[in-house]
Amino acid sequence: MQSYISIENLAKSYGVVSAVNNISLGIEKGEFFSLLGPSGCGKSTLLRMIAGFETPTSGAIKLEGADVTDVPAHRRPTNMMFQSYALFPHLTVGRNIAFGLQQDGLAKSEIKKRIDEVAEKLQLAAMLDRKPAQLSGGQRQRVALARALVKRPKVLLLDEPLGALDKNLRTETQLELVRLQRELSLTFIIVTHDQHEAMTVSTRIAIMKQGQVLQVGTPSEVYETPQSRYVAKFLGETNVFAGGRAQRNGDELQIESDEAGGRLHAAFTDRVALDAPYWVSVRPERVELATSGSGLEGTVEQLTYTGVERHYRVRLKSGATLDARRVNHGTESDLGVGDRVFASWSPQASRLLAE
Amino acid sequence: MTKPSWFNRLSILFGFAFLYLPIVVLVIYSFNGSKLVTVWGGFSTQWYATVLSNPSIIEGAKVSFLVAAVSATAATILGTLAAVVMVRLRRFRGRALLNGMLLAPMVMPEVVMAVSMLLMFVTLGIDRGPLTITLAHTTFTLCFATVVLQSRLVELDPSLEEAARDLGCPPPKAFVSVALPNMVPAIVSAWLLSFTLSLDDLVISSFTTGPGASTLPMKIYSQIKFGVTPEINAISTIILGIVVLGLVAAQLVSRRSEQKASVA
Repeated sequence: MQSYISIENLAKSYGVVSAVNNISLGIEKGEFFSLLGPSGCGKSTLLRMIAGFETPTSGAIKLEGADVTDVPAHRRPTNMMFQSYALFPHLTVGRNIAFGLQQDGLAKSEIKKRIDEVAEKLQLAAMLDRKPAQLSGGQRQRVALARALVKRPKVLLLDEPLGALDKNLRTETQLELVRLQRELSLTFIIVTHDQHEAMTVSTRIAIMKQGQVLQVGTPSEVYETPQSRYVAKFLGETNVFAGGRAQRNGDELQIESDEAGGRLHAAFTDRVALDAPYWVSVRPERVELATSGSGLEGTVEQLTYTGVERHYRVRLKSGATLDARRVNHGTESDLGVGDRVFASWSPQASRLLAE
Repeated sequence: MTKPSWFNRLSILFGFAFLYLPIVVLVIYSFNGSKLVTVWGGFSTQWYATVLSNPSIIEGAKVSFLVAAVSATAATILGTLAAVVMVRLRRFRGRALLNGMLLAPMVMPEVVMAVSMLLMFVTLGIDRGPLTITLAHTTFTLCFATVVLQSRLVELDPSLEEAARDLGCPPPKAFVSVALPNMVPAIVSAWLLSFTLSLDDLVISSFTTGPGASTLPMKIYSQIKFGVTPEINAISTIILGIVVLGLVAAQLVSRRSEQKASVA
């Protein structure tokens, strides 16, 4: 089936440097799709190719089945919200928002109607006559959004749209973006390096590294079942131990790990090949610590209190470290620095990673 | 704020005197009633009357202003294009050469430039006159205009034009409707700077002129050969007045645009 937006074997190189390396992706209508990765991973280049600012070296971009690879930016039914907002400093807020509609040659009454509509939606009605320099950061961000949305694009592209906002405002704006996207049932593609942001807003996330897409999936898919150590570590925190080959034991897999200093357990799935070594990944919040019992033995080396949680860093007997977390229930921790502990987790919490 | 010490005050006074005393003396003596330049003979505006009724001076002024206006306009247009190319196109064949050629007139001795231009006009068989002066002035003021415009364009967010394109504006129109309005202060100051430089020039004008086309500085210079007269003081004061007006105007334009951008 053809996707709403399909990116086919797309590549972009600058001389010998390859920024985007043979990416294929399908994005469906109404998705809030994230391109997530560290700076320099090619996510912005990919977005700029979808917008039409960069010409791909090879490959194709299709929108509703139509090839738009060679369509210049000003004729693409996409609109972009820039990281710097790129508001026109010489025009008022109202005229900034009207700019795109004027290019389309819409009637004045229609332009006014659409501006009023979007201004109301984004609480900008009171500042249509101001210049961008007279606005706060959050207001500018809303103007930039309004200017792109008022054109009713098929796809709205957001390039690190919240990078300039402070933390509280950013969280608020993320929820606002999600609300808007649902309300307008538009397709959003957002570029971000902030995993929390990607998890909060997206229907699906593509995790990128060095010009390639490593994994695509819903936030819970990529968090719960990462397919590589890179993805596991990039999304949240995790403990990874190198292990040997997996041995099947009923519904369970057993892996000997010298690094962890013991046998690790994982749930059996038929996706696991039994003849290759694996890494075992477990999220800190899934690790249970007890003062007695079985599991990996170690001592608490560090205890951090963050309010929501307590973070324990355990030095295992094997010498490796293990992070564990406990939600703060309002009781004092029964574990202190220097205490002997046994760490364990359910087999379902283990992820076997081949790479 | 601490009060300035007597030493500070003295140095300020000395600094201002060093900069402005010659000009003040010139302006004062342009109102001198006496025919002798250094002897004060009472207040009079007679030399202004003499200047304004001197057809040769008026003719020179006309040539000068025409040349300055045309060459400043040409230099500003070319300078804008050069600045766009230098700032927006990061890599292209001959970039270093163009950059060098744009900045060369700043460091090249004026006489060398003047001689080379004269040679070129002679070789190409172009009759020397106001046209050749204008061409020569455009060449040497172009570099100053480019520098002013380039520094403004560097500060201008390149995503502004991208945003305009993204909103449906074809690239040339995006430049005109978004980048250009934000460059107006720089364009005005580039023009005024070029205009002043052209008005001021003596060496290049002298080399590239032909019979019958003398600029005001050339007229003044030829008169000075017979000694400094109060008339010269009067002309200089008039030119000074025009230049000051121009500078004040440029200042006002850029200050107003800054205020517009920073009202909170």
